[in-house]
Amino acid sequence: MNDMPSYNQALSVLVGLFLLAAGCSDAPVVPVQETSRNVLVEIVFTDST
Amino acid sequence: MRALDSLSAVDYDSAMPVVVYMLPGRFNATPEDSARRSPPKTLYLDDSAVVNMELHQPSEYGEVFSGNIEVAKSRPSFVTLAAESTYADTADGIVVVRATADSVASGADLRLVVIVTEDSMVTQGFLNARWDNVARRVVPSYDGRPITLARGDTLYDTLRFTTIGLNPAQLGAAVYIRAANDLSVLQALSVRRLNY
Repeated sequence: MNDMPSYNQALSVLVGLFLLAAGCSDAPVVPVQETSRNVLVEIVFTDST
Repeated sequence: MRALDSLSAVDYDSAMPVVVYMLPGRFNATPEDSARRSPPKTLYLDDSAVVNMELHQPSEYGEVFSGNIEVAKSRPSFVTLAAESTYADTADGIVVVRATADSVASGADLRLVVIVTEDSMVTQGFLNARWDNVARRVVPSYDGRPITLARGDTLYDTLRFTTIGLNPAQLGAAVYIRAANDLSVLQALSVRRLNY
C-alpha cells in the first residue's frame, strides 16, 4: 500500500502528458515572435534631387 | 539629407538601417544599382517601394515615412541578427553575421546581404551636400548568400569586402535577411560604425 501514492502520482503524470500531447496536436501552430522587427530603409536620390 | 534628417527625428536609430543610393552614377555601390533601385526619388521599406518622394515636400517626409515605417514594423519577425566587423588586412574588411532563427518556415530559401555604407560623402558641385549612409559595397551581391536556417538554429557567416577607395573611419553597414521567393525582408540590422 505504501506504493500506491507514487503509483497514483505516476499515473497522473502519464494522463497529464497524454492530455497535453492531445491538446498540442490540435492546437494551431502559431509563429512565435521573439524578436523586435527592424525595417530596412532605402532611399534613392538622383543627381538632380 | 533632409529626408534623412526627418527620419532621424523619428528616433528609430538602431532598429532602422538606412541606405542611400545616389543614381545614376554617383557613389554607386555596384553597377546594378541603377537597374535595381528604380525609379529614383523613392523610399523603399524592406525592399518594397512605398513612397514617391516627388509627391511630398521634404518637410512632410518625417510624417509620411513614419506612418509607413510603423506598418512595416508591425509585421512579425522570426530571426535575430547580430554583426561584428574587423579588418582582414589593409585592403579588406570583414563582417561576421550571427543569425538565430526564432521561428522560420521549414525549407525557406533565405539570403543574407550586407550593404557597406559610408558617411560624410560630399557631392562636389551638387549642392556641395554631405551624405550619410551611402551604399558603397553590396556583399556578396544583391542576390545574397544562400543560408539555411531552421527554428532554433544559429548561423555564423563571414562576409568580406574590399575597402579600396573607402574611408574606413566612416563605414557602417546594413545587414538583412530576405526570402528569395518574394524578396521580402525578414529582418534587418543597422551597424552604425564598423569597428576596425
